[in-house]
Amino acid sequence: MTVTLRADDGTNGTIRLEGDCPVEDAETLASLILGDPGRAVDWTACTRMHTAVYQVLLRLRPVMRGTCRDPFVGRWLTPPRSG
Amino acid sequence: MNDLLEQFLVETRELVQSATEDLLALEGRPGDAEAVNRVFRAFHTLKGSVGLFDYPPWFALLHAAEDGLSAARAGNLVVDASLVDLSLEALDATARWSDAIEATGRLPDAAGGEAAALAERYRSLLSPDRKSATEATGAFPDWAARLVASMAEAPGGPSTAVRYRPRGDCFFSGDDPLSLVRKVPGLLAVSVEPATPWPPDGEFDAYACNLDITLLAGAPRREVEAPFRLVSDQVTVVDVPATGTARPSSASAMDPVVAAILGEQLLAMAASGDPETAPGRLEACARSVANALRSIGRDAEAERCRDASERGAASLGPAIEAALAGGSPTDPGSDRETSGADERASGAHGAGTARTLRVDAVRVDALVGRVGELVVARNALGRLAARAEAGEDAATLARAIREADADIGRLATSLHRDAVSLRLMPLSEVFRRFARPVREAARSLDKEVRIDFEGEGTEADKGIVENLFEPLLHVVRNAVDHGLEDTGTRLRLGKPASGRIKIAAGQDGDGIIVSVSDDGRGIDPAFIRRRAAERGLRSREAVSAMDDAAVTDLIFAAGFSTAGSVGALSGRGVGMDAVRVAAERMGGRVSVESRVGEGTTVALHLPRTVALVRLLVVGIGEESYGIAMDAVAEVVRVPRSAIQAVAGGAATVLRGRTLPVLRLADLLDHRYGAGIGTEALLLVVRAADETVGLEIDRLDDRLDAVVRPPAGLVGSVPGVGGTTVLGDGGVLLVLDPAALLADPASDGRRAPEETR
Repeated sequence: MTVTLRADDGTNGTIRLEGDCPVEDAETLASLILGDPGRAVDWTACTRMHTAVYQVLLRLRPVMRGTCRDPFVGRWLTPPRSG
Repeated sequence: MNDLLEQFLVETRELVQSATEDLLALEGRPGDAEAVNRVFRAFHTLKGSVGLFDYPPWFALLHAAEDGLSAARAGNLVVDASLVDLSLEALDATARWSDAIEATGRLPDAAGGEAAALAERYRSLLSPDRKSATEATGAFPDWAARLVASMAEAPGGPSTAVRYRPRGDCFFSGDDPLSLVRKVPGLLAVSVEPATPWPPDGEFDAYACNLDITLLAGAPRREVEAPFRLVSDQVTVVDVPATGTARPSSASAMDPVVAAILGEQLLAMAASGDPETAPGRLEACARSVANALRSIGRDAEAERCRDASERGAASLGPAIEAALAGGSPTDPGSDRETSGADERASGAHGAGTARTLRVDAVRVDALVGRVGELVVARNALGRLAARAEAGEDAATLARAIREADADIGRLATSLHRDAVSLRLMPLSEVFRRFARPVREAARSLDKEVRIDFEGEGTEADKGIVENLFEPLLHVVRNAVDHGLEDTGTRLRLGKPASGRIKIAAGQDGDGIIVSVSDDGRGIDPAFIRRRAAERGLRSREAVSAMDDAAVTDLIFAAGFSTAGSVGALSGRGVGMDAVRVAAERMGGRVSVESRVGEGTTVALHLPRTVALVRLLVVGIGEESYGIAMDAVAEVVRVPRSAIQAVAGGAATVLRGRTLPVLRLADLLDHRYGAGIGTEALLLVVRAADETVGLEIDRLDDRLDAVVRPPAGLVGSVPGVGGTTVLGDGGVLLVLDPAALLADPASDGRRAPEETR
């Protein structure tokens, strides 16, 4: 599991993507965002992102934190929404 | 949508399907003159129907294809792979365009370019010495123009643009579309957008791919194409000329791509054509020109061309030329309006497209006849009311009412059956769609595969048949990919060079079984044991204690297979558990049988219809349960003294045969009920090849009901086959004797008390 929810910053919590985020993470990520659309997504520790995971971000447009560490995503794909 | 168009779309799909089948057959037997004939006739008919509407590029393509096939029919053109492939591409385009027309009422913007390129390839087949054939840049699609326009500065040298529209189910086949893009050399720009507008939030499916990926790369076409080799059917590639490369009538001051588009439209308008289609062509040209101009921010000129088009071709031509000669390009890429239009135009593959249902006239007649009977039966009620008013005595009246009730009940049941049968479709509708994916999968893997079908005539509900394709495709791909060995290995093992895949369907009681068998390497239980332990699905001790069949079933467990792992079943991304889930969603289940070295059979057991089931309502303690009458052979009362304790349970003797006796209360973990009184009430139930006596407290009722597959909380209760809603609004759990009796010894299977 590489999708985690952190509730330590006193806000709605931050969804962290870490390491390799395979196709299975799409569902988890989607349900976390849908659970509270105010949650931000921190992708600075994600080293490789599956298309399905990116599609979830593209579709649900959560607030994004930082730059994705997956070099391909960071360089070529526009963040769905910056925040 | 008007009736004519609707009918046209239905016929188009059928023609595409039958022509595809014939083309695939031709590939195996190039000399089959009758098949060539059939393909020709299909294209001829398609052309005729398209001509009824106003789709000039489509018509032009079909016309070129018809010419090519006519030459093949006359023996002037060799039927070879290039003709077959080209014709399959033309059919693909035809299918996509009819979807687009159904969804949006018009052809996608890119259709013009694609049609011209395909038509040109037909023409080049006919005159092989013409070298100009592969000028695929002839028409420059909007999306590529946008991509080029989005770059801060135009690429220095020639580049290649790719549009990749992954199939909606691509995640299920383990594809990671962006991973292919990662491999493209010399990337210059990438854009990822939704391919069709997102469905409303309520329908979020994280595993349905809906992306339109476009990219620009500064590498030769061959190298850029390479990563997309396995998904070539989902990819469009165009060469982008270097800045300043001479294009027909290109103006030096203008973006070369836009100039190319404009030049192309001038040529298209100049081309002589039949006057019927001229207005449509003019309209299409004007739209392309306006979109191209807007994409580089020259909105005013776009408007001018739009206005000019309303005055006719004579005005549009000069307007385009003026734009070509006109001022310098302004800041590129500021206007994305065309992208919206394009998305709408190509919103073709959405799942929600309406489908018509073709029904055998005999079935409709039967239904109409039955409704007539119902009307007659209703009249009887009027007469009864009159008799009641006349003061007839209650007992006679009650009998008459009962008779009328029985009549109407019988009719209602038949009506339901007839109505359900309207929705029955033969499975051949699904099966015939497999020839192509199998051929493509086999080709890409360099394997030889023969596919056979059996029982295509088996019928099932439309809802089942239409949902069957995806899970079945997953199983078939798995079989081609992992089940079948490559040709070399097969020959070494003494197997025939080409692998065999059989898709079979058959009746199974009330349901159907659809199975996919291969004669490949089979599933090695040792491998599954290792993998299951590694993935933490079961402990090492638990897997070694399981028998091989149970171990093999683990391939359906969630989390068994994930992307990035290595092994005989690897790289699937979403595993076989997706197949299991799909089957369960349809109210069915999956099973697998495999022999190492001999092959694997994966079977989907599915309900045939959503049918009325005759239920027996039985009681234990204060609870009532339904049980399908079909499963109950008889109901008997035996003296309790006739039930003997035997090793591991109880049994009685019924007509000279030993009958194991189980208490339903025990199976369901009731602490009360059954076992009092001098006689025991037994349901003699046949399930899973054995006959047992199931002791119950009482028989409550008999009813006809629509049983729904278990869902939610009820879905996890073992032994429950479904639920039905009672007349008073309560819910009755319907037991599945086979599941109930499957393994009465195991503990973990018991229903927890609180679920009731």
